Amino acid sequence: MGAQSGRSARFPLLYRLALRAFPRAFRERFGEEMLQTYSERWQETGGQHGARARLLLRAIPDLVASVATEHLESLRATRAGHSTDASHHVEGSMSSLQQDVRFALRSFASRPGFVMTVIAALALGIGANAAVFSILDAVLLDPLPVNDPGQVVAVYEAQNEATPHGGMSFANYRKLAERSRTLTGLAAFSVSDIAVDVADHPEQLSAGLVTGNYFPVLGLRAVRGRLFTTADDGAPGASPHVVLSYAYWTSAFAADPKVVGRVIRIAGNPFSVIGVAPRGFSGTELQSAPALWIPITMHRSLSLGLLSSPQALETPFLSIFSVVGRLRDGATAAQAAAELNALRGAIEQANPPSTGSGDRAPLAKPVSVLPATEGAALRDRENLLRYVRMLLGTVLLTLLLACLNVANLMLVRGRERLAELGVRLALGATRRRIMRQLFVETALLAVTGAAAGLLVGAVTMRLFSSFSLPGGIRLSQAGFELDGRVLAFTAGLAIITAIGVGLAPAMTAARTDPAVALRTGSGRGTKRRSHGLLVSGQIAISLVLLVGASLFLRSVRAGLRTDVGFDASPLTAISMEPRKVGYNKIRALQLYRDAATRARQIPGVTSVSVATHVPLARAPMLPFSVAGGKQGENAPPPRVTAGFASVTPGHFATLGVRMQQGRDFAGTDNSTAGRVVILNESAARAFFGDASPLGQRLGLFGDIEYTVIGVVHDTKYQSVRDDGVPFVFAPLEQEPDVGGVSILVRSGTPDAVLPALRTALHETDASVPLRDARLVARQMDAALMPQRFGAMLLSVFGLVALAITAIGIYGTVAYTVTQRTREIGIRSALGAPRTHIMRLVLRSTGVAVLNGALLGGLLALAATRTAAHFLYGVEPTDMVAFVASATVLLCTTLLVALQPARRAARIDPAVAMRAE
Amino acid sequence: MPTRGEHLQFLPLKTDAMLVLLVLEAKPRHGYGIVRDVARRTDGETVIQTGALYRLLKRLLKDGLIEEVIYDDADEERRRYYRTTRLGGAVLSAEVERMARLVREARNRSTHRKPRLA
Repeated sequence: MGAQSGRSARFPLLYRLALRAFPRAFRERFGEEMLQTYSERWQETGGQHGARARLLLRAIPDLVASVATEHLESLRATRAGHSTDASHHVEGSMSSLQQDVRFALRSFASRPGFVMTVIAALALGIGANAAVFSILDAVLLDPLPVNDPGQVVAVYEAQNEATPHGGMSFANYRKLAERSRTLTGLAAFSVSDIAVDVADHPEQLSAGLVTGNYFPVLGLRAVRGRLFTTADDGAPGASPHVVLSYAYWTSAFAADPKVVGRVIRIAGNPFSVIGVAPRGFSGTELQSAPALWIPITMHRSLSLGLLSSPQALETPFLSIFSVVGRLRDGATAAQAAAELNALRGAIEQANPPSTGSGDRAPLAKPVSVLPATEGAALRDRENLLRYVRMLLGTVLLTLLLACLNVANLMLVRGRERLAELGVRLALGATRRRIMRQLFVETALLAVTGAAAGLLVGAVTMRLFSSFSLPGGIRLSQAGFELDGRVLAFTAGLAIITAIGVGLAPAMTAARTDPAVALRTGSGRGTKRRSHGLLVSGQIAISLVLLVGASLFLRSVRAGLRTDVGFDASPLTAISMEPRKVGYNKIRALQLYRDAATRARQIPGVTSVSVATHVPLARAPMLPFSVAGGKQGENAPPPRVTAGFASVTPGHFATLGVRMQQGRDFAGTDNSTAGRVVILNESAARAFFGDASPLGQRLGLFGDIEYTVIGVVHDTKYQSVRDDGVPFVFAPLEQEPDVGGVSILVRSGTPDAVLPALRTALHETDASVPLRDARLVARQMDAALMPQRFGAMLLSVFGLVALAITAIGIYGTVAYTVTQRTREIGIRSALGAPRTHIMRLVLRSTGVAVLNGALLGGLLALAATRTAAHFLYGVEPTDMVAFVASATVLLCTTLLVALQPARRAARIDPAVAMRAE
Repeated sequence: MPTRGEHLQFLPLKTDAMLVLLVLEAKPRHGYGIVRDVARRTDGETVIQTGALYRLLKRLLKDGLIEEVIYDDADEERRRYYRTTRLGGAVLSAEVERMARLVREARNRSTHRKPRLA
């Protein structure tokens, strides 16, 4: 894949950058060779992630150690050169910049703790920011890689108030496309998973079914062959063609230039490749990245359940199509929306919906038109925006913390050096020289921090790619990469900040009269207040991050403890999709029966069911309505969008869900008997209110009717956050026309049953692909992904923030102690008790810490409101989280502050007085 | 032939250095080749990291234990290869001799050791 090859080039590139850190002589002699050797080792990993990670993990310490040793050696060599062969090193032979750098390195070597903290703080701030901004860029800001993306719009139809941006039925799409004047073209598509078989290598891929004008509307040109045109919109089944995505072309066909004309099997039918889409184009929606596109007229050959039914493109009830269009020059999205709504109204008037179809509650403006770049993530755009805003807040706070910390340390360091600088000034160093020296030191720190930030960024991206965002956007498929511009920007910002705050004390120092500097050098600090502010700021930020982390951690815990309404722990499930390898309805049903029979024979299995939906996975939402006229006369028959699943008898017992009324399905509810359904409580209430639902009738698509035979208790269906989602269950024997099913098995030993179940299903028919073999309890974990991601990110940042703050506070207190050694000496000479001295040292920092904690608490109250949406089972003002975070923070700071304070208390008055 | 004293100053050799001399004595190799051969000879136990390798090569070059050869491989581009010098070979032999003596000593000790009481 493109991203893959990009990445393989990138790490050696990083290596090349890292080589810069070596002394010049070494680099010039060995640099190229090292790069080559490293590249070869990189290739040796053969793209295996594990091997690459190991190589990286070893290469980093190796580089650090090598750079350090070589610098030390070259320093030693120079010094040796000075003593033995002084004539070569007369003034000026070594550039003064080099001298500055050497001097800086030597001064760093004496303060490793200071150096490490500054670098770590900067690296964290820069790296994390770059990574999160890159996501933001890829997910929300990156315009679609299409021609003139500003003109491309996504068109949605409201299903009801709750779903304002739903899909459209193909019939409606067609009418709008024919009549619209504000749009130059309107294309429809639908993305599904499909079994694709290239050279006997079957796999499940995401495929886009598109109208012929899809690519022309987007203004895309093929990189090989051709893309679809309106000619592909001909008779059903007449265009067995497929267009490959660039990424799929490179991964599955090794970018074979002669791919056009090759035949691949899709859902068992032959399709010929006619072209390759341009690089970087992976559809117009973020949630899905199709590997290939197929003309929508081929829908019947694809075994996609409802979408493959002959009427799928005619019925006005299958509102599953996404629509994109291109605005005519000068037209706006608002004009297009107005026009489409008017057209929609006219269509509605011309063909009033047939009776019994269960009316759509008439919405004033059902159609909405949005710029496609916004629409790309629309299904969960609000959620996504909130989430990304929260991430951004987190990383910006971290960056701010890093800057405050660096400022604090620099300030301390600058004060400490006043005496040293005073001496140098007195000995005749120019102010410029000293300024430059300080500048070089700060710049070195900042640049090293930025370089380390590059690594932190790369590692963070790796971590991110295993998570998904709200809306099921897998970060690994969103196609984001560490953005060079973003990185440069953040690094630049941090470097400027660091140099800015680093130079401020340096300037004070350099401006000082040497005599004064010498006299006050280790005397009393004059600007303790700025310290106090910096400490308070750090404490406040740390507290916000820690509170966020604890809220998310508690959220994950609450999620894991939620009563989902069914018994997840004894369940094992495997999905199979026989329709995708050419099974028809009848054979598929027989296969399910055989599979269930075999599964029942596995030792330890107590119950087996076959269902199109397993808990906490996506389910189709269908528009049901009450049928049969038993409804009150003045109320219009309510239409309710409910989740739908087909299940075998015993499904509810397998899940451990109790029947509330009526009966479970039985073997007699088969294709010859009348259609029946079981509702969940919420559906029963939504359709029939308080009336008994048993014996009532429900309609679907205007032509299918069901009789309600039972009601089950509500459970969580698609997510643990579900609350009162209506759900309708039908017997699998009556509703087998589905893409695939899961075999659900209840047993005392779900772990042990999993391999046995796989074997049993494989024995039933080895040609049927199995997927998602899993313990249902594990699925609960996946359902909590955004919370987990938040918890992981905030915990890591929170802990690092805590560590950095602790070091900062240690530095501040230690500094106070050095500054006031003399005063402390006098006090203890006059008989002040130790506790008194400790209180003296801790007081100023303590006040700053408490102020910071207070400020942080208030900030956290405001900040956690952004996160409220993603918290589950925890209030954003959760006392436990606040108190625990504050306690951890205060205890840590107290602990680190105590050590230098104790040292102060032990100061020997005699020594202290002599020190001046 | 190097004088006796000349190569003794390099003893004892570090394991990595010894392995590299050993590999380069057999055949001239470039950087990656050395890493690969060392790993192969030690059954993957020793994998020299790139930075450490070139620091080692730098030292061995400076001490004259290895030298650079321009090696034209028909398949590959022209690149720097290294091979063990005569001095390097002598140092290697001396080190092997030294280790052999050490191993003999250790063996003697273990065979002569009396069984201890439990």
